[in-house]
Amino acid sequence: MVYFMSDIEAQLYQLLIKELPTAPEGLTRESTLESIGMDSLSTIEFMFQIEDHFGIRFDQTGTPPKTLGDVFDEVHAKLEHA
Amino acid sequence: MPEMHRVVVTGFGAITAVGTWPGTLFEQVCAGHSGIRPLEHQCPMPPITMAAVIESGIDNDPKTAAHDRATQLALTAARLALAEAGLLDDAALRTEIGVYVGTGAGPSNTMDQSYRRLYAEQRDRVAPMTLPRSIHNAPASEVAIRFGLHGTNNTYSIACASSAAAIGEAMRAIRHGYSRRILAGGTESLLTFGVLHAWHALRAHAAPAEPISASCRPFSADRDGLVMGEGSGFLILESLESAKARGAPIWAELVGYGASCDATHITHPDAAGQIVAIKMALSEAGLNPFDIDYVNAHGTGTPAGDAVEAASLSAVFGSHLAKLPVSSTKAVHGHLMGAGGAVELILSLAALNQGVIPPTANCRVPDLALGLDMVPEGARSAHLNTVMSSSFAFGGSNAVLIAQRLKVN
Repeated sequence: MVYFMSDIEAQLYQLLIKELPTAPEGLTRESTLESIGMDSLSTIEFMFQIEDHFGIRFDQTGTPPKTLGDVFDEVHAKLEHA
Repeated sequence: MPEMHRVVVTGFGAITAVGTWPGTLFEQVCAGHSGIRPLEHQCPMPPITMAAVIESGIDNDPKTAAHDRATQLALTAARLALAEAGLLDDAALRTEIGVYVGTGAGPSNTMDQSYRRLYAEQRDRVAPMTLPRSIHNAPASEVAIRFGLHGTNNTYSIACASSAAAIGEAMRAIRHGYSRRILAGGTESLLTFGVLHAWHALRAHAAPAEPISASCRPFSADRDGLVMGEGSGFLILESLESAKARGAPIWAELVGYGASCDATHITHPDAAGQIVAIKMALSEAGLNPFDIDYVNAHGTGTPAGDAVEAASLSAVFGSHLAKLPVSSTKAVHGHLMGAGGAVELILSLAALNQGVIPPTANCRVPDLALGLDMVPEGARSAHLNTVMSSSFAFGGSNAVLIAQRLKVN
């Protein structure tokens, strides 16, 4: 849980747990979305909710995020340039 | 010819504006404490400003909160029902359970919110889960997913008789051997801007009274319309042998179901159609009219609806009607639309079990022309053997359920 101490990460965590089929345990930056039970639909919903919540838009090009760390880094990058 | 099975109720759960079952629901209904209250200020404010809105009791874990409100209510009521029937902690027993859900308009809040984004807020897109969360069978599906229920999964939609039909059809499925155990009931949450406008336009809704909690007055001479509510109720129906085999508590036996259509008008009820459904339920139960000890009426509080229902009851029950308590509990929990039949059957079973007939709250000027004992004075103690719950819907669909104490024979 140490990875979710910042405000932004705490908010991301709240958005994430709505999309997971079971309560998450032992999440790390390296946890892949697939390994924590996210499928393609829940992933796009998660990304949409992040965009809506923070008022950002992810780039539609490039490699889709694979891990939680990928998602969080992208959010941080977008917020820094917002 | 397949073997016929007796169908019993082994537990139920409900959530309404006046609490849950198990919880304060039946107590509040018997006390006549209405859950009709002002709607919180919205912008823009809808033309209807009151409803029996749920303020607490919905399961508040993030997984539940992600769903449409109608699905949230269904998940809450289903959990309560499974727990009461002793099925929440036994995944193996739950596997074969079917789910039969009645809902008039399905998960409408999600679609309403998406329209608001597009039309009012001029946003350019809606959430990816808008469609999966809006489909009519989302409550039934999400309940099955949450609790691991792999049996037949059906959703019925006949407006305000939806959950009564779901329960009746589930009873038949068990009776005829297609299922052993079904979670049957309904859910509805329609307190959205658009739907409140639609009800206002129809002019079937009551005007706010003083106090506002007295706005819905079924069977009262000064009644002037229904008041919307929201809620969900589910019952566990089982074959008698499977209930006995697992030592389940048995609340009652479901003995009769009648269903018909007026086929005369989309909104105005017709006594002839209602009479067919009541007689069909009595016939299936092998009962005479004088065997019924209590009727939980549809009793919406509209001038025309209550009068037609009284005429139907008079035609079926004749002289027995003078001795038959008939109450409407909608003044307390509001008109639950598609969930009404389930919650009102649950209240009827609570009455059977506790020996207390719920009153018709707010019946401050009993309409004597109706010829009903509408229990206006308050809850009444009585030994009940057999109870009937009626649901008469827009579209002319009628569904009547009869339950009684389990007879050992």
